[in-house]
Amino acid sequence: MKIRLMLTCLCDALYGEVGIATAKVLEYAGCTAEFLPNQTCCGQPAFNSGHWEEARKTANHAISVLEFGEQCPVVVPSGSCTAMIREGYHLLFPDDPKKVAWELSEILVDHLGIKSWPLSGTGFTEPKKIVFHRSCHGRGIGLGDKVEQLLKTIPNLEVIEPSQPEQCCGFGGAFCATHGKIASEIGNEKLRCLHETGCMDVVSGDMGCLMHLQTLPSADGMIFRHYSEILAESAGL
Amino acid sequence: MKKPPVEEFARHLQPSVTDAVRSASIKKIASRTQVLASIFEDVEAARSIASELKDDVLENLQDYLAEFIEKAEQNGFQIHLAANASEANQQIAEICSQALQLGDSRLIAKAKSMATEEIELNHALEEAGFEPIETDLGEYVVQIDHDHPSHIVTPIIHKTLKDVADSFFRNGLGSYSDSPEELTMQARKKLRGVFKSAKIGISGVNFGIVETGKIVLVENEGNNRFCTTAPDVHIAVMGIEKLLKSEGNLPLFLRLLAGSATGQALTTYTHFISGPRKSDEQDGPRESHLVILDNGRRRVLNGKYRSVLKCIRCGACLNVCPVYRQASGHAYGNVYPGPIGAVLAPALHGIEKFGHLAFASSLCGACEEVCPVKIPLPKMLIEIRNDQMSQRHGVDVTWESFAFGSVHPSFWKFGLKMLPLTGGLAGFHFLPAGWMEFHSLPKRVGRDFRGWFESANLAPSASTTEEKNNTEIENPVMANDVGNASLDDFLTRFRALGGIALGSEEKVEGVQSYCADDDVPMEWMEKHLDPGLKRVNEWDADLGITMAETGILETGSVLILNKPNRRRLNSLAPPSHLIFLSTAKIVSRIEDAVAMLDNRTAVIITGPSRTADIEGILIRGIHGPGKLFLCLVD
Repeated sequence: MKIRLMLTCLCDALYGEVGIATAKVLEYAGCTAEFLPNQTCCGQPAFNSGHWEEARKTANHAISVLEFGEQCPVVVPSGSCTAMIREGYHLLFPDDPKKVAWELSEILVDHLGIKSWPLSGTGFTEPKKIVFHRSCHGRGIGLGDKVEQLLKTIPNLEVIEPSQPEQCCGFGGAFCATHGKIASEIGNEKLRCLHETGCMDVVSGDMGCLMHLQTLPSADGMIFRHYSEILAESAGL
Repeated sequence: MKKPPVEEFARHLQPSVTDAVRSASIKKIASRTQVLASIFEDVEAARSIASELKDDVLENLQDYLAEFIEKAEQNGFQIHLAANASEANQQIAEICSQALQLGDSRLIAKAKSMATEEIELNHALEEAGFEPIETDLGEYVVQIDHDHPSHIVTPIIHKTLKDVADSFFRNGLGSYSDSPEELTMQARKKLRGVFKSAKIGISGVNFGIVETGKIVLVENEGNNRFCTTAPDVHIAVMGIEKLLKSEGNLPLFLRLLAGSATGQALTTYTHFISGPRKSDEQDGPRESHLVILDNGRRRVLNGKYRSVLKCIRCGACLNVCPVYRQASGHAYGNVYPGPIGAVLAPALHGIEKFGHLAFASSLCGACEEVCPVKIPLPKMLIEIRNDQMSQRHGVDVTWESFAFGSVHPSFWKFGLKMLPLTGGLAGFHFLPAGWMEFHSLPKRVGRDFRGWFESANLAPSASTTEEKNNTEIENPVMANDVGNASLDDFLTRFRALGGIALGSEEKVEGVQSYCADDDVPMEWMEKHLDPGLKRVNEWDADLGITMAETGILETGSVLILNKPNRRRLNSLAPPSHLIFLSTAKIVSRIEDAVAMLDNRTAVIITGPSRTADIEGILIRGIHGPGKLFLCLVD
């Protein structure tokens, strides 16, 4: 299956390892991953801030590069950008057909039918624990516990659910700059819930959440990673 | 730089308030989730159906409103249409003036109502020389503190037990106490005086039923029943959007509202009001007025925020909202706080005044996920943001340059390379000062993807497995089947609510006097009462005795219909209430009980009167009977 990787602006700018892991995981699962270097951003930052004219420019560019059609599925290591393409673009361009993109786990589980990970091999050699943060936009696009279920199949990996799993991390894009006190307190509350599990290894499907959390002072000593990195590592990629 | 109002408010909030709001919200959402899951086989489907029913109401509002008014008038309601707040206030003051004779008490017994908060009715009535007294415990505390409610359902969620204790002492309600039971009894005593002497009662409306012209009110304390039953004149204030097509739609909404708002299967009192007392009835108001309020709603109805009018005011979106939990309700600066307020306030009162509220959200979507009528709040918040930004003139440099960079890949890539020099992402899309106040700079981690991809040699390693078919699952909405539940289950539920089921020979202890409906057989009473009890009027009786029309297995409730030989206050005014219920008359579900309603006023009672307004502590007997006895008869 040929797929088109959408890197996301955050992974482009800061978290290249997530893009690398995602590409490796997709290839490992049997896909041919294509990366079109003219891609930039989905436009969500401007869209969520109410600047729809600017967001349309960015979105139009993304559509011209990646197309978001059924022919060559666009795969995104982010529930947030996926939600933007599926729902946000429809608000920006109500007369156009809805755009299609897939969050990484949707391709792996729903399309490739992968029910356990890794496909061969023994997973982690040493027992390992992670605590999983469900991102809001991952919930929003209907991922449910898809990612956790897949992670739970990895031998020697324990996946812990924090209390109040449905609560937001507080990121919200520009919100966490304009409403810094509120956003950081929401983040601190989330960190408390993660911290009380006793596990310092935080895994999520959205780097926006993790960027916000790991730049808060109370995140000291915790490690934050995208789940694609766990999938890649456990498969020895 | 000036902070947005909600952020500014949160920065000056006492930590004790945040703690109170957060811990109460967490509890409320947890019980909501648990209760709805126990009521519905498929909560999602229940919400979808409720959403569609409300869509239908809004779609046909003009016709439905006309039919509702016609039916309500047939029931004896006097209808008043109010275009805005001042019109409504004027009409209500007028009704009050006409209702009172010279020398009558100026007291007005007021039940909790968001519509009356919206139009600032109390203020208007005070200006006109009346003395409206809020009788819901939380609203009463708000009133004597000259405060504002900070939540749609639990108005003093921001106050602690000590705050209430101090306030009651300061206001002379009794000797100082920090026992929630004692404070509740002080309030009961004080407000009982209001119910006895007020000639006028004012309430809101939860649902107006189009096909029958009745209004339905739900509550836990019993003050609402008092306000709509004891005074000579009842005035109800209702937004135009509060309609439901039929009584058949009601059980779904009653379950969703109680479950979402307070984590109950059903609120203590579900009150069906069909106008003033009929000529053959013994009590109830002699006049019933219904003030139907527009106040910007028709404009919203015809615009893109129409579906915000589906709201049934459960407050679940507040409880789940991370921003509300940090900022509290007062931060929103209008009567409707939280996500619903951030849409409703700008929709009703203008983007210019309240558009800023839409920016106080991380757009996490939790509000839409808990909304019993599936209002797409996050989408609306984003649209309001766009509305507000579109009204601004000139170019926003940040977003203009962001857009420019994103459509010029070479510029974009150059910008990315420059990031380590310009201070990380904070210098790129976010407003740097706001970010840096609470966060450190994000750091680039590991390798750069673009560089890696150019040199990577990727090849597929595994064979793809077949694509999975998505199967559509049909999920009918229905309450957990109680058809086969036994009588014991009914009694178990009744007891779980705090009710006391009497044995066939058991007597009611600790009462000296009673009042009873005329249709309660003497020999039944003799069996369960000590000889020598005095029969007195309902205000003085220790025990009120009534017959129930039916019992509801699903919720452990009883339905009491108003009849010529019954008095509504018998089941409300005394501190204890004894209900006789024939075992043969027990039905499975709320639907079955609603189907038994006639054209008279009726009430479904689900457990003893209760309040949890003070720190969420459950106290029984705030206004209605705190002890509820049930005697099953064959």
